[in-house]
Amino acid sequence: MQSFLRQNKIDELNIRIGYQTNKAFTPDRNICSHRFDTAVTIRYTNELSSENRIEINHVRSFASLKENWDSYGATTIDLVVVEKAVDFIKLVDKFDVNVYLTSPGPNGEVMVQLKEGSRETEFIFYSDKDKYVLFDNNEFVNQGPYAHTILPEMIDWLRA
Amino acid sequence: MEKGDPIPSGEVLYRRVYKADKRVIDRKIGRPTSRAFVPRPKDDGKLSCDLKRLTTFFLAIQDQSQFRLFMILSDTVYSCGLSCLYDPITENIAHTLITGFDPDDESVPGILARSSIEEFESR
Repeated sequence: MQSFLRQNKIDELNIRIGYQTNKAFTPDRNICSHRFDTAVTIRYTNELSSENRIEINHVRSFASLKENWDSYGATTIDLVVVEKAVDFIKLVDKFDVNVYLTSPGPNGEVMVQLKEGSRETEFIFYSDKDKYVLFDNNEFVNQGPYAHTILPEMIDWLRA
Repeated sequence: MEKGDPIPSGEVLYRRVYKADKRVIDRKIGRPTSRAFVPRPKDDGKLSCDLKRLTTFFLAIQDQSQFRLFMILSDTVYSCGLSCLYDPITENIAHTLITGFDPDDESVPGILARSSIEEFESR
């Protein structure tokens, strides 16, 4: 999985020297000393791509949709579902992939779509389940339950 | 044709798609997303459409400021393993229902969305 990480994208690099300290780390205070030990934390948190940032904002806007937002009885989108989709986009970003589109569903779901050439993958997040569907040249290829562990395989398929 | 009759092969169906904020429209190519072809909770697993030959663009779209109109073939519906039944209602004699959606089958909304073609006002 590491090989998929963007070359210049290192989420977290912790270097600890000496014994573990009980002292809490704060983002603006990365080097902490204690009486008998020393700990150094170096953290690089790279920004998301602008495309993925836009999609995250788009997904977050779904949380404010009112009941019947499509005028045909669509339900509201639960914050848990919105955050699931946001976490997914953040994960996708680590693979140097930009989300193609995001779309709310009438049953409280959020769909996140990836696209590379003729290949498309829809990831559909509900409060109680997550699914994926693959399409190639607009033809259905496969579908199944989604778990983050299969994301590298999905991205490989998209890029193939 | 009577209420409950299957729609014959070769017919064209109109599906109205909510366009406000382009939430269920692909902003890049203008195609509806799969979410535009998912039945609502209140629809009991059925998707409302209009039979093209019994309506007009203006009757079917109702409000051009809110909706866009897309066509799908009854053959596409049948090829997805769904049923397509004539279901006229007082205010709409063209009303048709696509039935047989399996909530666990996420492929069908995507297939219908990808096979849809936008209908425009004829000039």
